[in-house]
Amino acid sequence: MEQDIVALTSKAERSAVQTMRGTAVEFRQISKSYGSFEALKDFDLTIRPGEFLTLLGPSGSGKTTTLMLLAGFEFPTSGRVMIGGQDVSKVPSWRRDQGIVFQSYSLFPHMTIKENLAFPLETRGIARKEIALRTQEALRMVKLEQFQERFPGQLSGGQQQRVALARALVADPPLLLMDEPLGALDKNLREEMQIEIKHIQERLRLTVLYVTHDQEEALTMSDRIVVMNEGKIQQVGAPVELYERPRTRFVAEFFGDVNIFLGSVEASEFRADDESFTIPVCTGAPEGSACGAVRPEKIEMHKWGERPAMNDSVEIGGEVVDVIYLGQMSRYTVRTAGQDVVIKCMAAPRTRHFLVGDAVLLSWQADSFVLLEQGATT
Amino acid sequence: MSADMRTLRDRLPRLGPALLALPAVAFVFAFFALPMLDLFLASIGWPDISLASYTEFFTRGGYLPVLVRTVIAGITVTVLCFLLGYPLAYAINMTTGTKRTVMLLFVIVPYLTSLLVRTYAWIVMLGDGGLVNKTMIFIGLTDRPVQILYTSTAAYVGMVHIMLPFMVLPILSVMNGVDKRLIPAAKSMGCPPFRAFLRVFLPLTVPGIRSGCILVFILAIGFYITPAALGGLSDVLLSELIEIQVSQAMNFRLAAAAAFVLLVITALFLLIFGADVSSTRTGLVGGDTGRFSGRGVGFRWARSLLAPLAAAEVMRKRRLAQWQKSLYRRDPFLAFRPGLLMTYAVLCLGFLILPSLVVLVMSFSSDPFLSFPPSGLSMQWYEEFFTDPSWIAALGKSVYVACISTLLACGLGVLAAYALDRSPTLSNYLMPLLLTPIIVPIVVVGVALYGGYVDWGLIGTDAGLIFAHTLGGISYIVIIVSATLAGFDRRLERAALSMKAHPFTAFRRITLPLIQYGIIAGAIFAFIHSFDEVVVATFIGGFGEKTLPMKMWEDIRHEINPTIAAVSTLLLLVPVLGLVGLRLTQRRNN
Repeated sequence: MEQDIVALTSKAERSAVQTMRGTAVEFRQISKSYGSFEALKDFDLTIRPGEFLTLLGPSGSGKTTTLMLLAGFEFPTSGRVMIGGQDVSKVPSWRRDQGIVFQSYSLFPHMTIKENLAFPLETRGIARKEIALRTQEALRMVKLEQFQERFPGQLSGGQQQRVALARALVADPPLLLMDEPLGALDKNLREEMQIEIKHIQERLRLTVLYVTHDQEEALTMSDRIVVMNEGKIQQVGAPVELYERPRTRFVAEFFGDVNIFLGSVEASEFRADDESFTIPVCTGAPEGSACGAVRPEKIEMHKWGERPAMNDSVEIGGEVVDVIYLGQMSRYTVRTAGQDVVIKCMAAPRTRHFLVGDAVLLSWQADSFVLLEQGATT
Repeated sequence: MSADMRTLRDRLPRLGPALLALPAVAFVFAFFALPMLDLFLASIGWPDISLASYTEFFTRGGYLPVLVRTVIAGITVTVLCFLLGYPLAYAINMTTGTKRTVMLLFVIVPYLTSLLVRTYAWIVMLGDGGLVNKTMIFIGLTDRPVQILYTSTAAYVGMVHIMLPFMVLPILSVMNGVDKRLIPAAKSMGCPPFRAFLRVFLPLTVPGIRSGCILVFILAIGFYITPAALGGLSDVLLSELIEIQVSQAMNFRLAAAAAFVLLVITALFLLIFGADVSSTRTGLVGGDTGRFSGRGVGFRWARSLLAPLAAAEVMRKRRLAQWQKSLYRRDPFLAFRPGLLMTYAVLCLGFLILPSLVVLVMSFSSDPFLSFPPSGLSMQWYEEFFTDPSWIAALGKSVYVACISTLLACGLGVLAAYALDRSPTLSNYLMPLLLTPIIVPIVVVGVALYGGYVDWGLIGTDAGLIFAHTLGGISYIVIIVSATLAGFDRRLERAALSMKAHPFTAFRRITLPLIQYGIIAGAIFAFIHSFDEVVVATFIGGFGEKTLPMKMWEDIRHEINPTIAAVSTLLLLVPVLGLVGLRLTQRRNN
């Protein structure tokens, strides 16, 4: 019985069970400039062994530069890159041990799928017999055994993506870098692949650095997310942390719809500039002008005149001016005495539907309100 | 020690570009730039600097008219080629399928056929007993042969015939890249077909027209073989004058001055037409030329030399073009009646291919002299060729020189192209240098190399010939391999590096297999360049053993012997084999 289980488990899985394969990565005080353009400024980041870390940011934010530095295609202008405790700042790519999945897959068009998978093993001087074995194993892992004699051009986008993944993993690297690997796939396939990649990573306990500009993808897959903008880290944290407690307006706005209120803090209380509400904030918040954020789905909406069930911290009256039906939920825009407020409600069976022109009462709780850091409101 | 080796191995690839381009640059510098400098110094009478030879050139009777005649001839040939070639390119561009392939072959085969063979063909065609005179007598235009051969008419016919592919191919390659949907779009805005052609299609093909015109003009003003063989004594061109000064008058200073005048005209023409306009058109051009856009002066020069590239690429792009064509099968913007245009195209292609066919027929003639049609068939001229040791020796020498110089050019050229592709700055400075051997009029190259190689004792040696032919070979390989590299996805190399492949391994296993089509195409052009080259060979061949083209040229000038028809027919196999070779590598690539 036990023998059967051992036989069924592939070699890769067995080794993963025995050892933690992933390695630690550390960026220390990295700066990288191209001429007068500073792509990265004072960049500090530690990736824990076996962690799935995502770099998220708009184009030009420095996330690809970070990946290139770790891949050894670029070298830092100052600072150090450490992999597994060793300084690799000046070590070129071909002397490092890592797997990379490229945005364009970069499968070798003149080699069959099998030859593509064998390539990273050949460059490591592995015996032919073992190459054949491990190639087959990798093909099984991504369920492409029947395509091994085909050329990349004969596969669909999704299949090519899996070959690229298998090729990055076949040599058992302790570190996997992925540069927007799912960008070229359609939505359904992308979601399927996200789960598959996540499963493989968890099973092999790989350290993964993942680069994307798709915040949903980052939320789905990551252990931690690094939000970057203009060469600097905006915030690092678990997905829930970044979504629920963004530190800056940039981060808040990067993860979907958000209502931003401008106001000021005085005696542990936030007062909106338009005088529409006040809300208690944690003691110790710096006094003076401030801004805060509330996610649309944290706001409850009631017909005017009906008392809200709970005693929420904020209550504002307004009128529905726009309704957009989104399937699972609806998105309402409500005009209040101050600014327009966006609300998202689930289309649950009991939820009342509101129409344009309805008078409504909005309410939310104090802990739904996030005070954002000043000065970083870009 | 081993640590040192390791750092060297790591650093070498990073020093990369400059180092890889070095051998080719050094070669071109030593065997081309130095002789050119030497030539210039000779023209000003170094070390006693004086402009005496230039003064002599511009004041003494006879030289200035030759210069004027040369420029006029260049312009005339260019205009004639454009008028003939544009409609032909248009007709080919609107054709699809097998018909298109055949039409293309009718342009490309003459383009790759030896200049000597094609010139000789016109001697056969235009002679007193040739096809043209026989036809005119037959239809009653004249009752006795008219003198056509050895007149300027013959020279023009021959030059236009030889230059036409150089005009058609660049235009065609640009036409290929023009979005076919633009014309229907223009028509949908109420533009009548011919106006749509004038306002939309024609302007978009201007880069091709410019490339073609530059190429034809530059080649035409340096033209030597064809006018010398077909033209009369009264209309000597500058290139012939230079040759005479060197070989007969032994006045090297004057020849050097004349060569520099020719060079300056070429340079001026390139500066005026080759440089400025293209920058405003950058990005408009699709297809092959698009790759060269916006890459600085070097690539602008390269663009005017696109014909060989176009020939290679047009063949390859055929399938894509076919697909595009099937979308717009009934050419909706055809201003002329299709039948008329096609008839014209067939006549043009006939003009291109007919002389070679006549030579082919003549080679089997049983007559002792050139007369069309032959009164009987025989293999006597082939027997003559294969039993004459001097012909066989010449063939052997040509093959030997062409093979060695192709190998040399491949080694140097591929490395240089790879280096230039990595560094745009390097490319801007070095590309022009590496291409000058085929931009500078061939007669000028001949004189310069003659002057330089005399000092080095290379005249009459195999080494001299090989070096001279390697220069042009490098140029062709750099053009074609650069274009191939521009289409190569450099990220693949990166991917290989990320898999622990050493840069050299990455080059050998990834880059090389993917650009081999370009390398082979370049090698074929380099081989043909050397195998057919006669002008430089004549200058530096001395009294050594002759190459095949040298022997043919000598025979053409002294006795019009039908053996040459047999040789020519055999030489017709060269482009055919070349094309088959291209086709085969392509098949393997796909």
